[in-house]
Amino acid sequence: MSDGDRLTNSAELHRLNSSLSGVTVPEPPPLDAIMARGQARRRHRRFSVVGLFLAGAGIAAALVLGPTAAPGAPGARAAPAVAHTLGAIRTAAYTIVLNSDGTATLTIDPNEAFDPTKLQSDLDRYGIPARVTVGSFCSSDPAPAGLSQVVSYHPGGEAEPATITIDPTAMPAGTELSFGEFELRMRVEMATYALIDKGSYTCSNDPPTSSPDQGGLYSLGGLIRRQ
Amino acid sequence: MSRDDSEFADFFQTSWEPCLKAVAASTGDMVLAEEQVAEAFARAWVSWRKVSRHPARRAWVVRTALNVGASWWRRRGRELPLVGHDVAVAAGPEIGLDSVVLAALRRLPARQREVIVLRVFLDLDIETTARTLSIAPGTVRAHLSRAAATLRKELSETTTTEAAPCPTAIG
Repeated sequence: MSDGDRLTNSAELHRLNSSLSGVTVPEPPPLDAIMARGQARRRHRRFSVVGLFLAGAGIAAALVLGPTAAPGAPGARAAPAVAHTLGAIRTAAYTIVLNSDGTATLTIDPNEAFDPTKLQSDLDRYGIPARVTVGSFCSSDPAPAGLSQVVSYHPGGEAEPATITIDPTAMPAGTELSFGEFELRMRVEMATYALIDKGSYTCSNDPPTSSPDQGGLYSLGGLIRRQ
Repeated sequence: MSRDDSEFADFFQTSWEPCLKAVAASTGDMVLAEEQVAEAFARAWVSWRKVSRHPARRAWVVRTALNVGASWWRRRGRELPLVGHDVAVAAGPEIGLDSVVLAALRRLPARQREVIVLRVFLDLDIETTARTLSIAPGTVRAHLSRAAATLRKELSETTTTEAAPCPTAIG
């Protein structure tokens, strides 16, 4: 028997090991949830690299522009103007890209908390009337028809995040898009969306267990429930 | 499901329990350990090409989980129990582990605890434990020896205290 074995077989360590063997542990989370979390991490890292690249490009531009980029000079306001012409709003928590056909594509990073008021305001800037909530979800009964013309859901893939593309021109008059986010166990975040009647809706703090009537349900971590 | 995903799925199903137990014993908090281990498995999946070739995959997950916990604590600006040397914890019942043993384990220096987790809980041999921690096999033996001595002392003191009769009132 080696020294290591003798040590490991000491009464104290044996008691430690025996004590641990009697411990019951919770069931493992679904494998999909672990993979979704990994996907979110990959995306987060990719965005971080892009962010560093853009930050580096910004520093390089500032160095090239030199004194002309001082506050008040024409070069100083160049960055926001470029962001507008690209038709995208990018925050740490989400991205909204305006597409050439007038639709907008929303991607949410489940690792970052988002401000529902800001997301609602940013969607409004692209002509999408929305009611964004965190920890609650608003719906109408009956739900206005036509969600499938308004929202198309793209589940993404191993290296691609899930996104939803919204066509504001297809929204019936008097409706808005309800978007509710819930954080579930193991940091899996779930988003629920539906069309609601602006004049008649109710909100609930309970995460929906199934896709709402005329609505969609998916995990921001990449797990697709159903639409 | 790809071959890599299938291999990862097998590893995840068979390793969740031992990894969670090891981390819970080290942190004393099953809920927190569950979060840390889930995060570690997610990272293992992201880096599966590398992790699948690791000589001790479970050790990789456990070390990652413990590092994740340390990083969370640092980010929250709170005391860091994973590296604290004298943190007395009255934990135990919530994870089902002998509270006396758990408290004694958690009072060990961080490195000794890491050696215990890998060598005793994950049943790695001395060489693999040493490679995983990037230390010499002799250092692993030294940590094990000191940890065993400390535990022996702590557990015998606890036993003595528990067995001592109640003080008798005088006068």
